[in-house]
Amino acid sequence: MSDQEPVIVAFVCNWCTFTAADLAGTSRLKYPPNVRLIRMMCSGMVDPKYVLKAFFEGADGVLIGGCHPGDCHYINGNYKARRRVALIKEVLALYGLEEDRIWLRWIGASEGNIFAETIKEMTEKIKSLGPTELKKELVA
Amino acid sequence: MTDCVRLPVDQGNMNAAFKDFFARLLEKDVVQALFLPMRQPDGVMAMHTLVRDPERLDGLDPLAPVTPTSAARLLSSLTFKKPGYRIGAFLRPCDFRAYVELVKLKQADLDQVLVITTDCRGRMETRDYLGLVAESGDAAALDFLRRAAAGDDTLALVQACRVCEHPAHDGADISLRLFGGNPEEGILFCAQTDKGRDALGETGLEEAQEPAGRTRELSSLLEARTAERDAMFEEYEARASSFSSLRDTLKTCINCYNCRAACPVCYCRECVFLTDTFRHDPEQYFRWAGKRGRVKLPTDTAFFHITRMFHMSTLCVGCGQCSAACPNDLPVMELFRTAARRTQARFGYEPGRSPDEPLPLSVFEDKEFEDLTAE
Repeated sequence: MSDQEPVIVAFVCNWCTFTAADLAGTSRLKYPPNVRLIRMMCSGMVDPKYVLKAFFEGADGVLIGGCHPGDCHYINGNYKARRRVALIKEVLALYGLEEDRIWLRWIGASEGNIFAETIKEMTEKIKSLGPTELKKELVA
Repeated sequence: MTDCVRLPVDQGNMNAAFKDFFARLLEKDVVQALFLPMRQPDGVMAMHTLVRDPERLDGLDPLAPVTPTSAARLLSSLTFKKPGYRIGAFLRPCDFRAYVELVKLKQADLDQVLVITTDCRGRMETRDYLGLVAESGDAAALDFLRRAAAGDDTLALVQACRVCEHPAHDGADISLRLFGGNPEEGILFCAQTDKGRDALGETGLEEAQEPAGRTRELSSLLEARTAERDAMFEEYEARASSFSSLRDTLKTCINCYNCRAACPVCYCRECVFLTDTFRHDPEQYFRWAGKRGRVKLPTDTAFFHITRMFHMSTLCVGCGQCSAACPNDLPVMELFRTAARRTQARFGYEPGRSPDEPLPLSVFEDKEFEDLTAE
């Protein structure tokens, strides 16, 4: 199928980014439907395996959304997430997965508009990158 | 004032001299146990052996050019709970570096261990070592050292050793500074810590100077190894630059997880790949095969290797036990060192350099990696 819409999997923290997504919804803000939200309690519980699995199962982009540094509900989960995302990007880049397909963003609970903006931006970016090489031959 | 002492070797019998030295350490209570490579009574294989009786050092062969499994992992099984004994342990630089990482992971102890390392020419795979012993018998270690020093290309050195940039370690308590010297005449033991100095002081050996040629030999060896290492990185960056080329490199992998078991720094007490998380419901396989048309079994092959890279590439010391353990001769060491080079650089981390350097994923700063969030 050509011109397939990109799939973005978003791991968002319950307290900040997920709440922002909810706010975007209640405010009737428009954003592209390419994102699939997965609610985590904290960005710090995003295991690199989940990001890898998302790509292996056909995601074209992965967003990790957490609280702003200093505002994490669990104090320091987002700091751990930041180092983990650096690690994930480095390893996956080795195998040709562009670093730009993995986004780490701090989106606070009141920032519904920023959430919508981020999804819009990311969808455009991923569209320009096209489908991942992985998608052509999905493996378990 | 020198920190080095010389152990004289009589009539080229290096191992007899080592026996005297190590027996003395036990007899003078410098240590209460030794952990050294020793040929077993019923065979020729040199295995790390825990010795408490100085009369039982028969078969001692510390410089036997073989490490059948990671000595770091073996030593950690003696020290993961603070040992009640002081242990004198021989570890090659790679094993020492892995051991330092295990200490950071709280799976090993350094306080109760007197570490003796060596200038290292490398090692052979077990089957090649057995071939060497068949040729040279008891003189296998000396024969290896002689041939390695002369640059003998026919020596079957493990690939990990050919690309190793750590033929020595100045953080261990004592180091056998072999380069530039002749082990058939004498062995130079140099203290590198206070603990090492105290230990060598008890041996009553004569003070000595480091041979003049050591620095030169060390740097020329480093130069050769670094060149081979860079060639390896070039090859593997190209060879596994996409997921499909990675899968091609892993084409004979059968998910046996031997590399995981052999790796000294693969630290999980329970590996997720051995849990129900990867014991997929049979229906899942049919779903995958249904969605994609077909699915190779076993699944999660590239997934396993990439996950292992996430977990331990920052700790990888390039010891090569993974490649040695692979039943299908996969270039595991090459794959992991290539990934490790990138992840270690990203965090500015060098495993095994110092026990005071925290593991990069166990710490964080208030402001760092700001380019990551494009803010």
